[in-house]
Amino acid sequence: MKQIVTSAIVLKRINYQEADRIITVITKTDGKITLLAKGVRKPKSKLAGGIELLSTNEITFIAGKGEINTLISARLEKNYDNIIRDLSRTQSAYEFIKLINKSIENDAGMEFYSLLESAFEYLNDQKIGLDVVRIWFGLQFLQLMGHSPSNEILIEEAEGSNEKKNYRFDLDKMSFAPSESGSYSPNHLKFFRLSLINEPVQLQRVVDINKFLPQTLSLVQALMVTSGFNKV
Amino acid sequence: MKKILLVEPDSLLAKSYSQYLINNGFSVKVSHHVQKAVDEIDTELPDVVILELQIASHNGYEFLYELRSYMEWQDIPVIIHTSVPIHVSSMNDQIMKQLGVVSYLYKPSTSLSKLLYAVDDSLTVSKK
Amino acid sequence: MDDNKQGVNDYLLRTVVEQIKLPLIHIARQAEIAKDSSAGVDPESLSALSEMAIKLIDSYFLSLPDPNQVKLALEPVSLSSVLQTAAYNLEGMAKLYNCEIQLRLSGKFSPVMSHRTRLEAAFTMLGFAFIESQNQPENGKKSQVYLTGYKTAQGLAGGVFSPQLEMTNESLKRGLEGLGKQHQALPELSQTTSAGVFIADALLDNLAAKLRVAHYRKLSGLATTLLPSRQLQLI
Repeated sequence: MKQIVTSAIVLKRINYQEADRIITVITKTDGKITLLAKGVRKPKSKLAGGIELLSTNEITFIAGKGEINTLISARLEKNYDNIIRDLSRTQSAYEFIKLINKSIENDAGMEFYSLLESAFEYLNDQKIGLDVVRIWFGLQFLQLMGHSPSNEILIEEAEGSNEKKNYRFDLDKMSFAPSESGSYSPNHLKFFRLSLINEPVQLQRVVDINKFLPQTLSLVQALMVTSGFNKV
Repeated sequence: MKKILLVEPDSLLAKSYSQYLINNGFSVKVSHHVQKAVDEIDTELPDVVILELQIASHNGYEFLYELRSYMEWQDIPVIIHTSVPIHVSSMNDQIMKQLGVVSYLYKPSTSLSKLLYAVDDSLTVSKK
Repeated sequence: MDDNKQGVNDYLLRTVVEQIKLPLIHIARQAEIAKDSSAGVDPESLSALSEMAIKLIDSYFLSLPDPNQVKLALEPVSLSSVLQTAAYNLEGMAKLYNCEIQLRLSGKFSPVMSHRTRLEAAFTMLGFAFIESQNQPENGKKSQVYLTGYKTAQGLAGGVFSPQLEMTNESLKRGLEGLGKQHQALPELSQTTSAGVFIADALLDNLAAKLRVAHYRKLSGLATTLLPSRQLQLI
């Protein structure tokens, strides 16, 4: 039987029978899969403690006939221990995990592995603000799920319209629209566009970033909820 | 006799709290670490968990999310009893409900009798 | 004082204040138990806890830069004697936490040029941080914390060690960067703010000594290297 080796991040664990666990992971090469870890709840199991949450693990498994594959071994690749130093970052990491687990089917979602791995890297970096990571993750997630906001107005603004306009966000059309009573300035739109196309490391360098973070985060949360997902 | 799992990393505090709870008619098991706490629940289901958020190696949030990922452990009420003030913990009503946290107690301002009251209250609510 | 140092001091103060909550909570809850039951308060534990809180505050003040910028007067100090004093200071807390303090001194040491009070405070603070973090061994035995002095190529190393510590210099550095900003700056060591480590770091910094992760005979710990006094070597 062919053994498959890949990198994985744990999404969920449940107990099975006396000594086993069923572990749902997202993998680099096979997307979301379910693994049976036999005997892992026995104290002397070589798998006990080998597959950790909030980390990337190298796993070896055998493909099962049905949905459940069998885990042979697991080795820690990278532990994001900076995340657990901060309760808010820990909480966000778990919310990201839950969101991905709920949103993708088995054997799908390889692209979500990169998203989650990158999210862990950014959460692990204390120099990147938590809200920056949450905004970035929310927008990347929406794009992967096909719920990306419209780029039209964002591109117009980026091309440097000199008019001093205000904007509101139309949740039905998933786009910004000019509005005298709108609460978003052209700079908000620029920041939003940057958030769609840049990594958090670049975003963090935006001058006066704290002016844009609260409203942008609220908007991203609203987009998540409107699209049927939990907030990040 | 109702069973409490006390997840408390400080052995001295754990002694005080468990002594008090035992004196008030509970059976108490203490875990100083998250993984041991999970193993403990695996061995014997508690009626309520009292949880410190600040634990070495793995924090209380990790325990909570781990606990709630098991279908058979959804109904165990959790009382957070911690040195972390709620406004810095990022805990809010929605997350508390989601994670089955029935109360958030800040250690410096929680007397033992207040803790006991919260335990009794959680057992009453879970009966319903 | 420059702004950067002031910032660090503010973070250290915040960490110390968080840390002091712990012995005070202990004392308050013990008093509550005593009120509630016929069991009296344990005077030994009250004494150890209050002493710890006092030493924490005192060591923090010692670590602050002198507002008059008076240069620190260094003197020849015996590392063995300093570690013995620190061990004595830690006895009460160690007993409470079912921990055994062991002194390990490898050979005879020349005196080092340092400041006795600060050095004693630094090792005492490190010791506190280690004691409160100890896991109780499952066989019911006491956990062990070692106050250790040994010779290295660079000088005399003194530190606090345990068989259980899994920390790297990288994680110590991250912890120092997270001082006052993270709830658990050193989660590999302790569930608390590990104020003892940061106070020790500040005290050693005053003495131009650096705190680092060290390994010695199957033990891991936090140590510093002190230079032997050349004056006395010339005598």
